[in-house]
Amino acid sequence: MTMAPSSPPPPTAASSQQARPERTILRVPEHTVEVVSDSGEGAQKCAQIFGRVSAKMGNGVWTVEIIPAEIQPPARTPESASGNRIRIGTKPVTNWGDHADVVVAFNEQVLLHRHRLGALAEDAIILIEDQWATHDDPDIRKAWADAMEELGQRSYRFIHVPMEEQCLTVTDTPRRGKNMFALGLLAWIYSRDLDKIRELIAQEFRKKAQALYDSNVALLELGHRWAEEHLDFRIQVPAIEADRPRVVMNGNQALALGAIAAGMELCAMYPITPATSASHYLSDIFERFGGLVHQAEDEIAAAGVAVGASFAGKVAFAITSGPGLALKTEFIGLAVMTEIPLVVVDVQRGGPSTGLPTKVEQGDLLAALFGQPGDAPHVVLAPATMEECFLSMTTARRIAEAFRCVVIVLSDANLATGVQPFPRPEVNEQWLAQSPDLGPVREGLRPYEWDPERGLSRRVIPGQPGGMHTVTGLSHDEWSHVGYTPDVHERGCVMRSRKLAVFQQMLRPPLVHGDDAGDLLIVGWGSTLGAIEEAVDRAREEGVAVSSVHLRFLSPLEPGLKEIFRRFKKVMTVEINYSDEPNDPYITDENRRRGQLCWLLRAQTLVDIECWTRVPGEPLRPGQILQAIRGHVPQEVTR
Amino acid sequence: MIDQACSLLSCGPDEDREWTMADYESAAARWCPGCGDHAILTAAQRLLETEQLPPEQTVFISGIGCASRFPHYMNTYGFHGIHGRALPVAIGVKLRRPDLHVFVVMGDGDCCSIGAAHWIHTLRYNPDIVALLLDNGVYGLTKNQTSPTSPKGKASNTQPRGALLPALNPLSATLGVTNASFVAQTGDWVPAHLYATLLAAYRHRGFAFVRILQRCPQYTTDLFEGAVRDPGLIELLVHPDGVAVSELERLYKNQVRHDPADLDAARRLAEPDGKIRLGVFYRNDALPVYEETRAVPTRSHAEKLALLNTELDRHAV
Amino acid sequence: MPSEDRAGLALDVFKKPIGAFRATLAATADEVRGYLATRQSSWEGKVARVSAELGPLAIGRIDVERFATLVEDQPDASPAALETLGGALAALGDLAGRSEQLCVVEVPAGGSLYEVVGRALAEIGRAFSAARLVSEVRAGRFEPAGGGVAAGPLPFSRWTKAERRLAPPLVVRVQGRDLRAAGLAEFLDGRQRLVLVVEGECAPAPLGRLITPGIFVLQSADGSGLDRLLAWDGPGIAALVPDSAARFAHDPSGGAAAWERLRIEFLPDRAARRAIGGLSGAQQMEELELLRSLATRPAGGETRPAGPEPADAAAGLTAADPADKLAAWLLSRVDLSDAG
Repeated sequence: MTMAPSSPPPPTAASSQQARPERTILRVPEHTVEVVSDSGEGAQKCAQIFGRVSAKMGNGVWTVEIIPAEIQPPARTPESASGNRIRIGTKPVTNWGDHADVVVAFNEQVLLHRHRLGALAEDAIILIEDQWATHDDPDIRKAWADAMEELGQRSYRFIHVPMEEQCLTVTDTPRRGKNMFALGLLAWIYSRDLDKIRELIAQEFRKKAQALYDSNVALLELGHRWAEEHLDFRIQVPAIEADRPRVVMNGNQALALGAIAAGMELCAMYPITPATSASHYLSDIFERFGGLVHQAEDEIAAAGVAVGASFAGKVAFAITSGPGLALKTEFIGLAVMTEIPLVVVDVQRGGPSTGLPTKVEQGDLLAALFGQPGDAPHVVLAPATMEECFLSMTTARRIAEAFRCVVIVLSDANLATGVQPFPRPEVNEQWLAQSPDLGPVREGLRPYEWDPERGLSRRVIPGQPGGMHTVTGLSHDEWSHVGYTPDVHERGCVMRSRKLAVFQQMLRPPLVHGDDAGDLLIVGWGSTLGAIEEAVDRAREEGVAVSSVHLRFLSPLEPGLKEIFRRFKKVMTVEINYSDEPNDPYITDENRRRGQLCWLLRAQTLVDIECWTRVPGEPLRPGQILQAIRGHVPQEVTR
Repeated sequence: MIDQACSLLSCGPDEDREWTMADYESAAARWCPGCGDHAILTAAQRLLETEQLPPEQTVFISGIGCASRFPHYMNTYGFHGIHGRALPVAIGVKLRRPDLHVFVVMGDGDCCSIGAAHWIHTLRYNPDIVALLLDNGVYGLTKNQTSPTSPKGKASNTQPRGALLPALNPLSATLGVTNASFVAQTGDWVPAHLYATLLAAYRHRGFAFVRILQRCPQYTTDLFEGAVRDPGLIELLVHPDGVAVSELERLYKNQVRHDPADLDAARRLAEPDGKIRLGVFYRNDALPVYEETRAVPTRSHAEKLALLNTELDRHAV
Repeated sequence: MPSEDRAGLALDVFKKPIGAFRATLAATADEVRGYLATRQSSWEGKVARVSAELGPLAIGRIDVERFATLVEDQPDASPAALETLGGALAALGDLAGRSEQLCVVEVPAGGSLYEVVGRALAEIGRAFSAARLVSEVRAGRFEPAGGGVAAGPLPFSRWTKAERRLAPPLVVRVQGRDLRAAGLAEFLDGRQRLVLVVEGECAPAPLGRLITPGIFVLQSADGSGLDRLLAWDGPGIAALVPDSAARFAHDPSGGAAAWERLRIEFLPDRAARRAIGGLSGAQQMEELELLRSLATRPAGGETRPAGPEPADAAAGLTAADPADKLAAWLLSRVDLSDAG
């Protein structure tokens, strides 16, 4: 079946003889959908397929997972809410938006959770499983009634859907099948291509029995038919035919594939959320490419294995999250000291300590930069999109090799689990790491033959005849001989630091989004790119003279920042990490603890930079940032 | 390494030279006079000479402590890392470069205390690596603190009224770990036995764990003094599959024939009962070696690109 | 089983090492190609290469020209060196492209097994020639007298220890009457493995004389035992022989004494009286007798004495040492002659 996505499609489900309601067709440039269920009811699968089929049909897509903290939290509680938000648009979508316009909820409690978080639009359309209203258990009926009263404060539009009852006509286990029924509802509302959905379901169940596929498809079609017969609205989000082939994946999958494209052959890891899914994916495919995932006994060992493998030749990488980064600190310091190239990926989550394991935060920036005792200069790179997650691995590996240095790649839970289509990378043989030259070394070559200006030296690798030496974490000279004298230690520090300066001079100043000068400049980094730029664009439409820059290199910092900052009346970082609010009790300008990038930029540029940060455990919404922009534009110039 | 692809450019044509002891010597060792480490260094160099291991194909990896200075004194590649973490580094080296001969040198603090997790788990991985535990029962480099293998009652700077706990027994601990494949004990003051044990360890296919009782002339002078003076305190475990040094048999009258294939007997012999036993406690050459279990095909660039494109197809929209 | 099938069987058993060698050739070719790229490019070429290596994330963010200054300039390569590298790359590509056929040869009727094997190994040795030339260029030791040097065949006798462990197994189809194996001892070193697929009648134990302590020797009618040769980390030879010939396996990992290593499955009662493959009836009988005697456990010889004995202990300690293996073997021979 083919259809032009932009024209109203004919009904696609099996035709029904029943009278259908009058329909309004709403044509919008973008729309946001949420599917929420109890954990284990499969709302995520439903939403993922919806997101993928939307991407396949040419829409811009951004998805964000709604994840409970436990594997099996008690059912029918707000804490159990599990699912996804999917924002689709005619143009590329770069963030999860502000509010959900359409919600499919499997019970009222999980819906309540989203409501209380302010996740739903004032006029959201809510398709809700209605068996609870008339449930045998009086406690459940009461909970339903209470919830409805609370939800009734808003002008949501409720559509009661007998999901369980319907599903029972096809399956004995409706709890496991409702998600496909829900997918059918959404497929009809948004005119999604059923054939493409069937393909995706087939992919999903390719390792399972045919019967499972059949029943899932039957449920999908059932939901589609029910919607066709009962709903009085459809929503059109026109799609634009992509001019380039695209792929769709989450940031962790992108990192994993990026590591392969970078020619890396060893990933050392220890299970930690939200980094682990990258190594799940790698464990599945890496060996075919001649690489392997080593699950070490702990985070420290994982770092050690990566360091050992890098020492022995090709650059290896370790992937972890905040608590793991803390444990890897000593090895990172050792790699810096011994100048062993190494890539460490930190998929950030809420901290400190165990913090918010499944939720996003940008709280590891300063730890990534300065976590190692002593002076341990290294590169920190933060991808801002799924595509950049893929590409950053090649760049990181090449930098690590060229400078014999550590590169920390800072991703976060938002990138890790969010899904976004991006242009298909044209993989290139030159991205792949070359095998190390194991030929004999020139006679008299010192293992740290530092170029006195640039601190660079050629790496000698075990196996090279004549190159024997012992690398050491102790202070050492060019021969790698241990030396405690002031000149030896100071020279080593200078050489390791100089490499960063050399690299900084190779970086280009960041591009400014919006006008080159104005009242307010927003500075961000990492996964907030899309939300910040959308907020800036909306503010500019309101006439606010605001622009933004988004940094990828945090260490060394990209050049020209001070010059860019000078052209704005005010500079403010927007980050997902903690900062004191200036008006809070006890907080003064002197003792205020600021956002981490803000802290860094103030130190580096001596500009009085403001910050606006939040730690909600979810991505920032563009609307929130827009309000922050309005609130922080210098007053005298507000129009 | 069996049937694993590599690059012909890294197999080195320079093999016809003969390596001598001098080829393995680097800087003069700076351990205290009388330190047992000197003898261990010599035994290791002798082993390399016997086996004619090219220095560039050999890596000594250590942690932190007196013992961990070892790589600096070998003219091979060396990695002097951080406290307790030599084993993970060694696994990383061996995983990607099974062609290299990898030796790990640890002290008792390194292996049995701060790095204990790696010790247990490396036994499980069973990489083809030789690990030497240079056990002097004390933290020497940091100047006399109690170590896990300090005998109960031994005074130190951290436990001045004597070590509070009974000493950890590295042999029993090692023999209790699933997949342990070679466990031996020797002493620095019996050079012939020391050498023979290192040789057997090197020739074992798998993770060879050798505890070397090592004298510290500074802080644990009396720890092995009795055994050094009175060979009667020593019991040699002898077996053709283990270590048997005929020249020692006149001096060391106490001998037990122990088949290193017998794990139960090994565990019994490892229990402390006043005797110091030297020899191979356990050996099983048939256990899978980690780097071989994890061997992966070598892919050419063209193959990798083709596979990558296939994988990207799966994500195509 | 027809000989094509048996050759196929042998190839199938040795799929992994043959595949590994091909992958080695491909990996080496990649490395040479990468190196050649660094030697051939102009400044612009170098910038383009560095730009590609950094990937699209670097576009607009990293000044690639500056980054390219980090990449060490290789000393100018002479045209002869470049030509040599090109030739080496072509040789590697050629060998890799020949697939399994590189590892299968046939002795023409009446031809010399020794010469055919020698030539086939020398052809495989071209890969080592190529790698050596590249290494010399890369190390700056390459000083051509005139033009480029071609990577020619390299006879086994000139292979290094490492090369002798890297080479793939060789499957050789040979007529039984051409099977004169004695000369092949020369090629049994490192990890070189030869599999002879014998067509027609052959002597009953043509490989008997190749048995030495460290060499895996197998005669099999149906290919059983090849898996053990595959697993053996040393040199070995196997012959897939007709049913009439002896079947035995000499596995060096079996033990220190010859009888521990040699397992005889079948010995023909008596050999043909006429000469086959240049071996007289008497010589054939001698080979069978050799097998029989090697496999016999010495009278009264328990596996190992109860207490440590110096000679035994020394043998146990250094069992892997070739010289000691030889000594142990000679000892076992002495025992046998005493027993006989």
